[in-house]
Amino acid sequence: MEWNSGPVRRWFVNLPPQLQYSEVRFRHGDDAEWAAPAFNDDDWKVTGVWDLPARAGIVWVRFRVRMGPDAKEPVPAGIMVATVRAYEIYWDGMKLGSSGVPAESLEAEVAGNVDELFSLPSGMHGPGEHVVAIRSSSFRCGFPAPKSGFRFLVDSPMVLQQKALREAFVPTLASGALFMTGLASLIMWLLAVRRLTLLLLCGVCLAGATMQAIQAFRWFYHYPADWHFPALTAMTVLMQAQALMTVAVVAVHFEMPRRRWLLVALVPAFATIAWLSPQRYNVAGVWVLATGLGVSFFCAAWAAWRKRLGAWPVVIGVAASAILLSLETDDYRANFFLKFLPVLLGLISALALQTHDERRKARAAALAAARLETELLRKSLQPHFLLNTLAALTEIVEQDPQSAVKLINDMSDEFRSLSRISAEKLIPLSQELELCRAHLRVMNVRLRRTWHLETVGADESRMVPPALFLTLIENGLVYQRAHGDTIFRLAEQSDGDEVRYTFTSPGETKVAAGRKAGGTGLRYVKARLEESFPGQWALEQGAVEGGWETVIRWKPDSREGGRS
Amino acid sequence: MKLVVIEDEPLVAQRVARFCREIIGGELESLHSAASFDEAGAWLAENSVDVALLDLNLEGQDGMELLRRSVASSFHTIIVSANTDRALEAFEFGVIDFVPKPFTRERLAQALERVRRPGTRAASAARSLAVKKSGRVEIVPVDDVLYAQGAGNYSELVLRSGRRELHDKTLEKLEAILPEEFERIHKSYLVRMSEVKALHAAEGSHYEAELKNGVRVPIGRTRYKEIREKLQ
Repeated sequence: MEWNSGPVRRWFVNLPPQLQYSEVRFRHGDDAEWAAPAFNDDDWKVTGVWDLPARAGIVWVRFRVRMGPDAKEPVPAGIMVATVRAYEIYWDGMKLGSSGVPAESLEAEVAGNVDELFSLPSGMHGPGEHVVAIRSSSFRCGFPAPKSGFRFLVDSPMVLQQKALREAFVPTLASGALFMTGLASLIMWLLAVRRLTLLLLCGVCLAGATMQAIQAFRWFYHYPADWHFPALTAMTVLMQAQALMTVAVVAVHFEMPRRRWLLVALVPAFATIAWLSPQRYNVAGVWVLATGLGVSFFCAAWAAWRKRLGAWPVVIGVAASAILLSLETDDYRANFFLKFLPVLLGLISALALQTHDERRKARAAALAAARLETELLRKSLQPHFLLNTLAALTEIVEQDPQSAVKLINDMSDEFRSLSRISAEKLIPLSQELELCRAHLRVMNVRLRRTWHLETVGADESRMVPPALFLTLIENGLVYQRAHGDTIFRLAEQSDGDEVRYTFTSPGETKVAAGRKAGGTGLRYVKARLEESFPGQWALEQGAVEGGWETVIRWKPDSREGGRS
Repeated sequence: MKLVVIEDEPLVAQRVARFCREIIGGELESLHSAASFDEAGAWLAENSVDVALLDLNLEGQDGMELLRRSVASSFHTIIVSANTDRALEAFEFGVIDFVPKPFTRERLAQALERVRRPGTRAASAARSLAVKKSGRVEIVPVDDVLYAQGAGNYSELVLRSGRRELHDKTLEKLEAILPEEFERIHKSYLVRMSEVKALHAAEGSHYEAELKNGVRVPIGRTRYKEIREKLQ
């Protein structure tokens, strides 16, 4: 006879040293004699505690418990049994009690409670060998489990109570923590940022919280055996949902390509994995969770490879969770919260980093916008422009007062245009052209020239950054020496999602090197384009016959409203 | 008096020319207008000029380069510009005046007055002199100059190192832009007075100033008394 071997040990991490359990034997059939301690069961089949046949009529199980003489330990006067089987339990031939009524059919069987405590009458738990016999049937053992079994533990009632409480402690803690995290994510989603990942994180947490609440519930309210398999099924389904949403958070957060297909494919994958796994719910859950962590790790590693912000915390979190899971592969629920915590921390860190990055970018964008507005005003209201214009004006006032009034009106037009657009990010092309023409009128009086701006195919309702073409005109006046042809040309072409402007300044280039650099003016143009069409624009320029050509292309963003 | 107006805005050029004619009147010998320094170059090569009224966009390299070329020339430079923030820099290079735009006739008259009246100094003294050297313009710090010797239409700058540099301006024009420390002790000598160690009276009413480095420079007979008083 073997002692303390096989699956018996599984349940008793701290098996009291003075207690030993023999191997377990079973037999189909029903005979009251089988409860007797002296009965010879040598010809019975030796089996694991969890390898008893399921849904197969009445089965008797016999094994022995050997108690040591050590009186210092608390007296092992209690028995804890956990099973969905209906049973009667005998100790040295005496019936200790029963849970439900075992029977030959589902209809006749009466379900007991999953967890029961029995106490050993005094005088029956002394040192020596004791025989335990259990008469049971297992019609409450649900599909697809082909086998069933029970937990059996002899110890002092105090220790057994503590064991039940310890079983409840971690899932209770987990349920509360996950529920609060889920709720916080939901509130963030509702009130702060409508981001899908927050909603998915809420889903992950609430699924986990519910799963853990079901697990904890068993230890606080002993429920009947009928409930057990539905509860296990619900927990496994919640586990699958949680694993799926974890992958979804990672894939959506890091914007994996084809993430929708990945997630759709995972639903049947999880179901198949649960089906193929050893047919016990606890292990199926481990397999599902392991698959979820594996796919999440793949997604996070891809994100880290693509240098996505916050990818590393997720990689590390998922890896840590996978390692913890691999240490305990026979039950996903055991210390579930500790196993899942690293993933959760990784995901929350990634979300926090993203929020931080967005705030930083928003601040930088606001700052850049303010700087561009200042630059626009400074460029046009710059003292030199005003002083030079006033110098010309003083002469006209003395020579030709009527022209002076006209110049003042032209200047006013330009400044009115400027004040209208200075705070805008994009303005209709019509306003931009108005500004350009007002500027040219002022310059024509000052320089005694006749410059014009001609447009070809221009859609005047299209939105453009303010003072974009005005700046190109100013650069043209500075860098080009025009003789005959004094017409600036602006041609617009648009095909599909791209708009293209070709701007030509007339005249030969004074200094080719300086022209290409374009000074502060060109820097302003580029900054404006980047502000309104980040990464979606291009500027090319070069000398052409009779002038200097600047070609600007961009893809109008539908959000900004390509049209007014 | 011969003037050249370099101004790319026709209205302003017209205004400068008009005021100059009104201010200088009959003394005006010639007035040439050009839109740019390059455009004026050809005319300057053929004609002598007393004053250039120069509109400079002093922002950036090009403006400073033009300023150097102008102040290195034989004529005086009056800057007429809206870039008032660069006025000090222009003076340090040796312009005779800086007229900010927009300007009145009185302000332009004041600038021209500095050129017309002999012995009038620039509104602010130069701190460096631009000299033309094999086609390039080099900058010589005024602090390095011991004295200048007139040589007809140009001058020779004698530096502390003993080196000599030719300057296109006459001694009169140099005197107008150099600090007051430089004294005209002889019709051909402009000397930094703090460098004078002793005065010597030689026979035949020959007077000489001995500089700290031992070099002796002649003193004009009519100026000796005045110089001696200044040194005491």
